[in-house]
Amino acid sequence: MGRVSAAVLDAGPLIHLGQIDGLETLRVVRKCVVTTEVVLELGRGFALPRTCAVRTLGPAARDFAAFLCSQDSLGLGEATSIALARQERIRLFFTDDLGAREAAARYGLEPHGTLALLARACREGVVSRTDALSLLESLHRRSSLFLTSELVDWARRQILAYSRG
Amino acid sequence: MSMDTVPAKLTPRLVAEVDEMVREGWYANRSELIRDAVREAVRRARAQRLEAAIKRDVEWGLRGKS
Repeated sequence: MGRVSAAVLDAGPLIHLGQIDGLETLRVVRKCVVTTEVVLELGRGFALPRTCAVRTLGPAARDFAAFLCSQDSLGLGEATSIALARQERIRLFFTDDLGAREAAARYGLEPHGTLALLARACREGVVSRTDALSLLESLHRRSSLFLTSELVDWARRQILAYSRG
Repeated sequence: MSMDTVPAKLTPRLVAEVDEMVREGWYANRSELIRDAVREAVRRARAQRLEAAIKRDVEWGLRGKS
């Protein structure tokens, strides 16, 4: 139990949390690592949280990322992130892309998405329950992360039930 | 675009319904209808896998150990 020690993130969770001013959620991860390709994907206007470190791939990881792009039809950001997680021996990988999740799991990583970060941040008190519910609603209404109303309702009930437990 | 031929068996009733939809102009031919149906099935399956993954995410966030 506790905060997450280290994780690799691709652009998805950063973009989605950024769209709702929810990047403080990332404080639940002590060390976030992203690739230079993800930073380029985010663009110059994106303020990367201070807990995020940028890493460059070594030659072997670069080859592996190229393989993932062709074999699994992943984008450069997703592929380099999976390669970086393996290079840095970091098991947790946060992405909202289904293909990236499935590829990451095949290569021994533990993939999760933005809602996992939000739920863990709530559990660890990084954000209050009220703020977590508000951020969940904002993810649904204001971000480009696709969530059905039914799924959001289900997540809301889980957060409320956990808080009462 | 290159395409593969995928042999598939359909019941006579289903074939009749496919042909009716083509006659009505919903699709140019049988292949186009079948492609659309497969595309929709793949989309739905992906949406279900993603929803299941997001539910596992919330469980992990609230109760996970890693």
